[in-house]
Formats: sequence, structure tokens, C-alpha cells
Amino acid sequence: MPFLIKILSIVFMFLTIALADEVGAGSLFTATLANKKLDLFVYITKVENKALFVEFHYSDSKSYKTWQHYHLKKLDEKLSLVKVLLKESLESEARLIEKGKLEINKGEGFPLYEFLFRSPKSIEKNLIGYEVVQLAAGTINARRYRKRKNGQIIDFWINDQVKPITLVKLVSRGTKSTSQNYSLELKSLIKNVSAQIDPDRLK
Amino acid sequence: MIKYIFLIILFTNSGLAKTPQLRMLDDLTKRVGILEEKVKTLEERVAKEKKNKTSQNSSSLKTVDYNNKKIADSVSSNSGISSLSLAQQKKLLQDLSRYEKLSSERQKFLDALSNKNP
Repeated sequence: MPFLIKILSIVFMFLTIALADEVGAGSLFTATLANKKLDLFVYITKVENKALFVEFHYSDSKSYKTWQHYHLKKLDEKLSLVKVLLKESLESEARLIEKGKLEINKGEGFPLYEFLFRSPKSIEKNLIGYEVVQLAAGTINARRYRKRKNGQIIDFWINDQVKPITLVKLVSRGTKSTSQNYSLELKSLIKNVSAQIDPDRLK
Repeated sequence: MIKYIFLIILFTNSGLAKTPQLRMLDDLTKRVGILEEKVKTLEERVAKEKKNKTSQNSSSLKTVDYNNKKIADSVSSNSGISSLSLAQQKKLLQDLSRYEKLSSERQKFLDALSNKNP
């Protein structure tokens, strides 16, 4: 679970401003971690003046399924976490999870929401090139960035047209722990998705 | 004169309609035409898909429309995926096979007719 949250946090970094007409839209990624593959769905469920609601859904080929619904607030050009609801099966009720459990431990990775609602310029210093990326979703041009921290190297590929998430691929490598090694790859774009957890429950 | 031409046409047409072989030819031609249209549509679709796969625009990326369903309700659904499904590929091959068979029958029939009426 904490490991998935870490991936989720990284994905959050690459969320750009979501427009109201992108409610229900998002991306489906194939997440590979510890030689296991998971489907990771990320989609916008609600947009307000200074708030964004995003739902994440993880599932594997067996029975593992979980939903996380985030209420994010925009403050001084940065996003802050307001509340998170977690639902661990279709039958169970969504429950509130402690905010602290969703933050990346200090020094262990990249801070949550570091780049949310930021302009692409804020990560331009990490740009290492332009590439054609072959994905399960298709072939696309993307900008490749690299970030390093405490032995962890994250390469990520962004295409601003792949809205609203814009992230198309991410590869994390590290030697300190196995949890630093994972990847995300865009499987398809998704649209008209209804929230599993009612975003109004986050208010 | 016009009446005479009209009678000739009437005679010719009625003669054609009464020939079972010509009716069969008409039927085969009609069926081949329908299949030709079908094959053309499918070939255009395949060409479009191939183009999409190599395109570098975001619009060419696969998109799945969940039609306002929740993810868990439709995870296994392929609706909206732009590539041809296995079922569609199978149908395309079947149509192509039928098209080739009917075209061949039609040609044989035409050859036989031209041999009878040199």
C-alpha cells in the first residue's frame, strides 16, 4: 500500500491544470513493480474554482482492487491535500485515511504535489531531450525529464496534449530499496468515467 | 420506329429475366458488389488503424469511452478502443474469403456464358 501511494504521489506531480470539460477524463497506465503488473487509472472527477478532485483506481488481473479519491486545494500556485477517501473493495464503504500516510517520507522521494498546477517551466531545468515514445496506447512525441534524489533516478516523459494527466511514461530506478524500482506506461486514454467514490463526500 | 425499339428492349429484358443463369449472374454480381463495399470499408479501416499506430499525435492514442460507467463496472470492456478487435479481424477474413469465392464463381459463370455465346 505505501508503495502504491508513492507511485500515486509521483503521478500527481505531473498533473497539470484540469479543465472543467475534462471531468471524467484521464489516463490508464500499466504500472510495473516488483515484476508485477497493475492497471492504474487516474481520472478527474470534479473541478471547482480552487479545488480539484481526482480518483485513482488500481487493479490487477486477480482480485486486487482499490480506489482512492483525492480532494486537492490550490493555494499560492501549489496544490495541497485536503482529504482522501479510500475504498478497498466494491462492497466496502469508502473511509477517510490519514493525510500523513500519503506523504512521502522526508528524504525518501519526491514531495507530494511538488509540481501540481505549476507551469511546465518549473520543470524545464530537468529536461534532457525530446523522444518518440512507443507505448501500448500508440506512438507519440514526448519531452523527457530526469530527476535525482537520494540515489533514486526518475525519468519521465510528458506530452502536454495528452490531457488532462500529460504523463505518458515514467521509469524510476534506485539502489536503496526495491520500492524505488517501478515504471508507468500509458495504456490508453479514458473518458466519461464516473467516480466510484462520490467527490462530495470529501467536502 | 420508337415502338419497334421499345419492343426489342422489352423482348430482350424479358428474355434476360427468364434465364435462370442470368438471374444467378445478377445475384452473384449483386452479392459481389455488396461484399466489395464491405471489404473496401474494412480495408480503409485497417489502413486508418495502421496509420494511427505510427502517428505521433495524441489524437491517435487509444481512447476508451466508459460511457459514464464506473471503472469497476467495465474494466474488461473494450468499447471505444480504436483498434480492430479479434472478432472484427475474423469477420474481415471471412468476408475476404467469401468475396474471393464469389468473385471466382462469377468469373467462371461469365466465362461459361461467353463460351456458349461467342
